[in-house]
Parts: sequence; structure tokens; C-alpha cells
Amino acid sequence: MQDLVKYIRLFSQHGKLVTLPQVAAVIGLEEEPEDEDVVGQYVQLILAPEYADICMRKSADEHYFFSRKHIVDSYANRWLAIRRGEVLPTLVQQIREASCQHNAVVDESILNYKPYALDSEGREALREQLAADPECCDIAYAKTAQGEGYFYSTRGLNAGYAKVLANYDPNEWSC
Amino acid sequence: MAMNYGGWAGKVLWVNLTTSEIWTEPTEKYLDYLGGSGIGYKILWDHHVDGQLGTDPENVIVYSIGPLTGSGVICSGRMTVTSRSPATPGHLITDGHVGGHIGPEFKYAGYDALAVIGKANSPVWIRIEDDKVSIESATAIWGKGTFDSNAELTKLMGQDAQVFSIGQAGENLVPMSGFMTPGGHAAGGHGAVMGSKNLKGVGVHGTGTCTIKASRDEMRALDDHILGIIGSNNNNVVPSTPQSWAEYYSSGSRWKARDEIKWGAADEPVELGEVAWNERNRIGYRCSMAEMYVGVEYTNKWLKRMGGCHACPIRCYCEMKVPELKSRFKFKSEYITNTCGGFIWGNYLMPTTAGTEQYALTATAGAYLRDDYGIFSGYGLTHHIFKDMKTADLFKHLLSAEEFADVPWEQWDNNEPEFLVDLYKRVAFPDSYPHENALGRMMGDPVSYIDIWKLDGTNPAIDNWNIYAESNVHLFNRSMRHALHHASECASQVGTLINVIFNRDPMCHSHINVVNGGLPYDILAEVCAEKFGEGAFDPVKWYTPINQGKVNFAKWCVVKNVLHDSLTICNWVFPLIISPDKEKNYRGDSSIEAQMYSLVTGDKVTEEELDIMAERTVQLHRAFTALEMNSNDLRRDHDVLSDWVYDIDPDKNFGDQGTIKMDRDDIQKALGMFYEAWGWDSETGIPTRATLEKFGLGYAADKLAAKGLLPG
Repeated sequence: MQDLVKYIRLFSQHGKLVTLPQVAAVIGLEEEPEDEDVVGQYVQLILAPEYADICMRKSADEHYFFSRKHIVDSYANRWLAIRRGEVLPTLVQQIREASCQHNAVVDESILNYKPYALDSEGREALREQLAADPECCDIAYAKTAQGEGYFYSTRGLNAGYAKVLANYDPNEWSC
Repeated sequence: MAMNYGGWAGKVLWVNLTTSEIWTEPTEKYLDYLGGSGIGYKILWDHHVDGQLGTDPENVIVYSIGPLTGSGVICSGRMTVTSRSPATPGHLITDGHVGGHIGPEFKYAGYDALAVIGKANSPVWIRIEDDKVSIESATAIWGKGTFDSNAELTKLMGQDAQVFSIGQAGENLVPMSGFMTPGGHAAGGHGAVMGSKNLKGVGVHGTGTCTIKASRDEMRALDDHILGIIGSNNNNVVPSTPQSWAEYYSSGSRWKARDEIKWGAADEPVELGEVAWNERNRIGYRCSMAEMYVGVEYTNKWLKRMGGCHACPIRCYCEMKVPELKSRFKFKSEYITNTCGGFIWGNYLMPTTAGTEQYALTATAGAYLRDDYGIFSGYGLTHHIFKDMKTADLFKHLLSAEEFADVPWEQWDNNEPEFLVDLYKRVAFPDSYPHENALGRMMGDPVSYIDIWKLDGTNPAIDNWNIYAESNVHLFNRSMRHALHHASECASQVGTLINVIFNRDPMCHSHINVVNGGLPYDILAEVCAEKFGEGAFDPVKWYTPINQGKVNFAKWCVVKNVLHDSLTICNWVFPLIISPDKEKNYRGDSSIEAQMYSLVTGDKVTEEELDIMAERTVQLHRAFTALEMNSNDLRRDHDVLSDWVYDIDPDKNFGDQGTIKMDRDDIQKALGMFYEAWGWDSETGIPTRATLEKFGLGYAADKLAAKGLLPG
């Protein structure tokens, strides 16, 4: 596994979690790494301080790896959830967390970036899915004065204050 | 303190331009004031004359640095300039700050400050090469802009020298003027002071070093610690877009590096990519904030690289290569370097739209013109005044018919940056027009023109237009006629109180480096509560009444600001009480400055002890202001805010969601609590004798008492 660490880190720099077979396939290893005792191998690996940044997560019966130097836990969790097809619940959780815990709205533009990386069709489909899901009735969508979309949860923010936050520019009065 | 410490050079250099005398005095007598601002205020106090103007020959101008300047500690490249400023009512004392490399060069030449008094018979510049100091003729460069002047001084002294000069605005005694170094570093408000002395500029070359007490390993350990918690400009600790290495992001963050941005004008364009907080070799890419001034498209076309100051890893100066500066505007160079306000003011004045070519050209051409002329804007005040008055169509009532016809208004109406070519010339050359040139004079001296044009709501010719009621003008401190600078619009009463203290816009970013750091509100509120007390930081545009936590926060901000301007350390990055490190729960370290000071000087102090040394200068500044104003009530005479601060958003009340409006009674209560926190009389805001003596300023108490200004 040590031989694969630098590739795990390289993938992490690009916001990607990887399985050991995926790394092997990319670098052209003739033999796939044995995954009978992946957990054991991982534990042995991170005993060495120079590999302490390597993290492992199990998702849909596969073991994924990433480097904490380039990926934080929250991103890793969202990335894995999206990979499992849980795009909507992932976004909803992020919106609720922002509204209820952080006093913040979520810019629709986050869907352009990893781990969502949706195109305009994908974003529109997601908005429609959101609007149609009764479990998401607290999730609201609106646009700023510049025409940019934002989300918030009515569990944490009212429409008026969400609008204030969405339109707030910290450099408006002083730079 | 005896001069057996590291850091300080040990000498203050004096030049009398009237008598041509040059001498030095030991820095030792100023050590209790640290350096920078502290030395400046002490020298000015010692030379105070009632009713003196900034342009009187006997007014002293002090360029000063501190024990950390040039020591190599991170962000230690700044120099303070202190003098009476013609840009304030009554020419009160102000301090300005300049980055780049000029401050460290003074240190290497062997000086902690240069104090200039008197007036030369003809234009001169001061040449400093270690202990060789001379007054040289500046006749050949008088009348030139700062670009040509700095080039000439550099040619005379050699490429290893550091120089600064005034432009035509300072020569022509325009109050809103300053001086510039190469690379776009500037300090505003004292250009006319230099011009009044016939002092065109200063050149410094030092072959010495800055002696420090710490070992290399100790300094390296300190650097490692700082690099582990420092953010980007304004200590923004999150990126501006979602990135995998960061839990949070903020679109307003100055951590702009990402795949979309490049240094496109570099000989080999540099693709920045994302820069994670632990990538220490790429810290210099983080900021890359040219898009704030010219938009993404023109950043990728024009940004050659990011530059900045001595010993600073953040690199917040945008070095731009803009072909249109030569091809369209016929300027001598297509290069312009600056940061923040330097690029922003033009677009405050013109009716531009962000993201357009006009916007980008206004930013760059405007910066070029103002820098070369040496024009200061009072943190954008003059530009806001112009735009608001132009929009209200007031100039036709205030200018003579001849002058009004002479101004190319259609260029402004059509959003042509060429309007600035015409306007800034009027500012820099107020006497060069066949008509009164009131427009140019107003832009150069708004403090006087508020009275001349009766802009206080008492001029029926302009429908009693009231500058103090106009929120778009941003005139915040009514008494001092200065612009807001991170005031009530951020951090409610905290920003408000910070904007009361100084005699000009405060240039204080201590609070911004926390509240605009980019972390979510709940985390910032927690950090502020831990540090200052419960409720110290309000949510965005949802304010609460004043409380002790906010008062503590405001006082801390001012102390840290003056500390940085005394040491000198960059207040646009420090203090570092938040960090990008999730493992540290995003906490920084507020004792960094004390660690730096202790290591460099060998004088081991705690954070609290160092803050007390800085507070000494704040106390002296306040006493000095009372003395200069001959005031026994600074609450009445100095600390009054514009009406719009309270009356903005008439459909809302203070405390409603969505407004920055303050409450008059709440602010009066806040002032009282603020005064008490400083040890000032709670009614008048004047330091008490007990407070002044506590800080070793009994002499200031004696002086105020002799004039009947001391409370009690």
C-alpha cells in the first residue's frame, strides 16, 4: 500500500477519493492489490507518521482513500454520498447545516464545483427534484439582486434575512 | 530602557531644511513608545505649537519604523509617517503607513526615524547613505510626477536604494496628497506637508543590518508557527470558492487562487490552481486578488504577478501589464502596481459596471494617474462626494459657467475613463486654470469645501443638500470629516467606535482580520466571545445594543492597530486570532506580536505588557488631539457621527434585520463605555490625569491642565 500513497495524494489534490483497484488500474499495475485485509494494511500504513495524512472510508462495500492534506472530512463524506447517488440528501443536509448552525445561505454556484460538479441541466433537475420532494419542504430557493441563486432552510432562516445574507457584500462599503 | 536590545538601529536622524543642519539623537529616549507611530507622536508632541498648520515650516514630519522593521519577521516591512495633516479640520495630527521596502532600508542605514523640520529655499531631496546624509537639489525633478521622480532618484542612488517622492499634487500643496515609492506603495495625507517644505523626496541606501537577539532556529520556529496559522490578505482563512481542502469558503475571501485564475501577463503564464493552506511554498499564490478590481477576464489578461512588501509571504500587490495604458491613454508605461483602494477609487467615481472593460480600465488608468500625481482620496471620500453630487446634478449650481463648460461631462456620462485624465489634472494643478477650478479644489480639499459650498444642508442653491445625510458619500465622522473605513457596516458598534478615535479614516483592520475572515458566523462569534466577552460580534446586518464585549473588542482593535504601526507589522494581515487550520479549531494566536518582539529585541514581554506599551501611544494621541483642538470635550468636538449613520433605511429601526443603522442613544452609551475602558472621562472622552500618569504621560496631563482641558 505504501507504493500507492503518492497516487492517493495526487488524486486528492484533484478532489478525488480512490479505491486501491482504481489506483492500480490508472498506474498500470499488473496485479491488483489484494483487498482481503485492506483495513489491516491501512492500519499498518498509518502507524508510520509520514503516512498519517492518509484516511480510509468504507462506502457501498468499497474502501476509499484520500489524503487529509488536500481533502477535509466534510468534503469526503459529501463526495462519497454523491457517488452513491445521494445528491439531493447531501445538498439538503448542507443547506440545513448552513441555515441552522452557521447563519448562512448556500450559493447555488457550489453545484458548479466538486464534489457536485453539475452542469446547468443537472442543476435545474436538482432544483426540480428539491421542489417536488415533500421531505424538503423547508428548503427554499431564491435569487440575489445579481440574479444568482441561493438556497436556505426555513428551519434556520426566514426569507427576509436569507435575502440579506445572500446579497451581502463585505466589500460594499470598505475594501 | 537601555539600548542593549536588538531590533532598533539606535538613532533618529534630524534634518532642518531651513538651516541645512543635520544631526542625530539616540532612539533610547523613545523606546517606551516602541517605534513607528509611537516615535512620531512623541516627536510631534515635543514640538507642538498651538494653532500650527501642517504647512508651517516648523511643523515636523516624521518617517519612522519600529524594532521589528527589517528584522525579517513576517510582515515587517512598513513605515509610518506622522505629522499635522492639511487633510483634516484644523490640520490635526494623523499618521499614514507605507509598505514596500523603504522602512527596512532606513533600518539598514542605521536609523529608526527621519524627522524633518523647516523649509528649504528651493526644491530639495534628502539623500541618506548610511551615515552620509545630504540635502540635494531637486530642481531637476520638481514638477514631475512620482514615477519619473522615483526613477531619477533611483538612477542617482543606484538600484539598491529605496526612494519615495511627492508628485505635482504635493508640490501644489493639495491637502489630499501623499507620497509614493516605486511599486505602488503610498501613504496619504502629508504630501502637502512635504511640498510646503520644498521637500520633493527621500532616497535611502543602507549597507548595515538589523541586529536581532534570537537565534536562527528560534526565528525559524516562529516563522513555522506563523505560516501554520496565517491566511491571505486581511487574514482571510478560507478560499473564495468551494475547494476540497477547506471545510468552508466565502465568495468575498481574498484567497482567490483556483483553476479559473492565472497570472496571464507573465512571460510564461502561471496557472495558479487551488492552493491548500498547508502548501507553504505556494503561499504567494493565495491572494491573487486582481479580480476584485478588474474582474476575472482582465485578471487573466493583465495580471503579471503578485508583489508586495519586505518579509511578507502574502503578496497582496497586483502587478499589472495593461497595454491600453500606452495605446489608448498615451501614458509612458503600460505597467501599474497597486492594491485595494489604489484600484478601487476610480470606480467609486465613475458610473461603471463591474466586470466590464470600462470598469477594468477605470481601475488601472485611475490608479496610474493618482499614483503619478500623488493624489490621496481620503479613503475614497472625494470620489464618493463627486459621484453623489454629479448624480444629483449639483455642480451646475456651484461652478462658474465658464468652469462648468470646461469640464468634459459627457465623458463621465458615457463612462469613458478619459474623464479621469481631465479630472485628476484639475486636482493636481489647482491654480493652472483660467477659472477658479472649484471642482479640482474641492476634490483636493473636501474639508474646506464643505464650508465653502455650504454642503451641510444650508445652501438653498443646491436645495439644502446635506453631505452628512448622504449615506452614499460615506462621510462617517462628522467632526473630522473623514470617510468610513470598516465602520458601522461591519461589526456594528465595534467598527463605529474604531472610526471615532483617529483624526482621519482609521486604517484599522484588526477587526476585519477576524470578522471578514470568511469563517461561518457561529465560529467567529465564538472566537470573539472567548476573546472579548459574550455578544462581541453581531450577525451581519442584525445588530444588538452595545455591550461590554463589543467595547472590549473595539479597544483591542485600536490597541493592536497602533501596536502594529509602532512595531511595525502589517495591520492588513495581523492580528491572527483565527487561522485556516481545522485541527486547531480555526484558532490562531494573538500573542504572535509579543513573541516576535521578545525574540528580536531580547526584551521578553507578554502580550498584555506589549499592548500596554502600544496603548501609551493611543493615550498620547488622544491627549494630543484635545490639545490641538483646544477642546475639553472630545465627545462634543471630535466624536460626532454623520446623521446618515443613524437615519439610513428610514423604514427600519436599529436592530431590525437587514440594516446597518445605528441608534443615537445607543452610540452615546457606547461612547461612554468606550471612554471608561480607556480610562477617559466618561462624559468628555478626555484622558484623566490618573490614566495619563499610569502610562508615564504625566507631562501630557500637566500640559492639558495648564490649558484647562484636563477633566476634573
